[in-house]
Amino acid sequence: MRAALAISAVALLCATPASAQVDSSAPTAEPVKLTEAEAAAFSKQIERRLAAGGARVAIVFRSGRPREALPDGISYTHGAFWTYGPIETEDGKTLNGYAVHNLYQGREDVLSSYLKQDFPYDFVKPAVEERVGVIVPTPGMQKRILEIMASDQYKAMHQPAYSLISNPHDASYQNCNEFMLDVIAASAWDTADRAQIKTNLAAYFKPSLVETSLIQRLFAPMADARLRTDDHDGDIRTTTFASIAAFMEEYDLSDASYEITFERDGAGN
Amino acid sequence: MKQFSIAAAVAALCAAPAAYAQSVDDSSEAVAGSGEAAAKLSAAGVKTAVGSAAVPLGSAAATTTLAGASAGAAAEGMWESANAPLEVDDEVVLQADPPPNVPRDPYAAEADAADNEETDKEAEE
Repeated sequence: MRAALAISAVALLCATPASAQVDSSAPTAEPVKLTEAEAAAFSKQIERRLAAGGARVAIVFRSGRPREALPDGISYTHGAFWTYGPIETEDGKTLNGYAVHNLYQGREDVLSSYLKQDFPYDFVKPAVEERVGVIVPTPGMQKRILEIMASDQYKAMHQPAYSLISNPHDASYQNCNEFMLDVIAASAWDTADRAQIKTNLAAYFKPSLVETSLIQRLFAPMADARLRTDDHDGDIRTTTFASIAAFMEEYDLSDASYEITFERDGAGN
Repeated sequence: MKQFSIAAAVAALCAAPAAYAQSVDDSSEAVAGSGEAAAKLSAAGVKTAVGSAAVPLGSAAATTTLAGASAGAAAEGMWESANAPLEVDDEVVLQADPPPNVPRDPYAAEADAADNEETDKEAEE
């Protein structure tokens, strides 16, 4: 009986929303986000850096959490494709710049995701770290990624079942990074077959290990429903900036990977 | 002492997954409508524009969807000059706000707020 009560207590405490635990356990003040003007300047700085290198497609990562709050090996919390091209505006102009192609978790249903195109400002605004990670694919990969994005295959790569820590070797769940990885793999192997993509990724892609104990893995889904672990076999391994960058570099799919830090002296706008 | 041990174990068990959650959390939520942002950016002297369509240069759709012949011509030659610098305009492009969503019942919002308050009280109890 006592054991049952203890387990119930664990379950109740673990079921407390993650945000409440974040507030209560945060060692420092709430992270400060960029102001609107800073986000605008930083987003324009990133666009100009990418454009200077002629990147038609880049893979960019931001963090909505302070780096010191992230586990080893994880530097960013969201990634998306940035594509260069003409942007039509509501007042009839055409501007040159980047659009951002995201997988976002659902607002109402956090266990599902959707694809949405927005703009660099929207990408940078939620960041609390004044730096982003960038991977620039080779021109050949950029071309293939663009071809997929322009086809029905792009949406076909989307698995709406969302997990924050989805296993990239398993097709059950997907997060923003795994979605990009699947598109990259579809481009690299020139295939639309998701099963084949997962087989290839299991053979060639090394995901990042997230250090956890058996107990933590057991209770993670109770702490936050988005921490689904049933697609993992033992250790928790997921897709990160570092693991995508390493994979693309190893197989000569990228020209560069680097970080851009916000320059507050007006380099952006 | 035994109670303390159980409490400590519970805290230890839960702290890690929570940290874990915040680690990847943020996570990938869309930014809400940008009307307010546009006002603040304008006040700060930042040039803004509301984007209505963006199709990647080089995709087949770009030749038909955007800017007609000029986009098509640019797309055709773009891979011949891969890595050559590209032009970026100064304007910061924002999203339009989502479509309006006003409840027909003028008291619906107040009723929802009252329900939420009641739920919160029950949760505290």
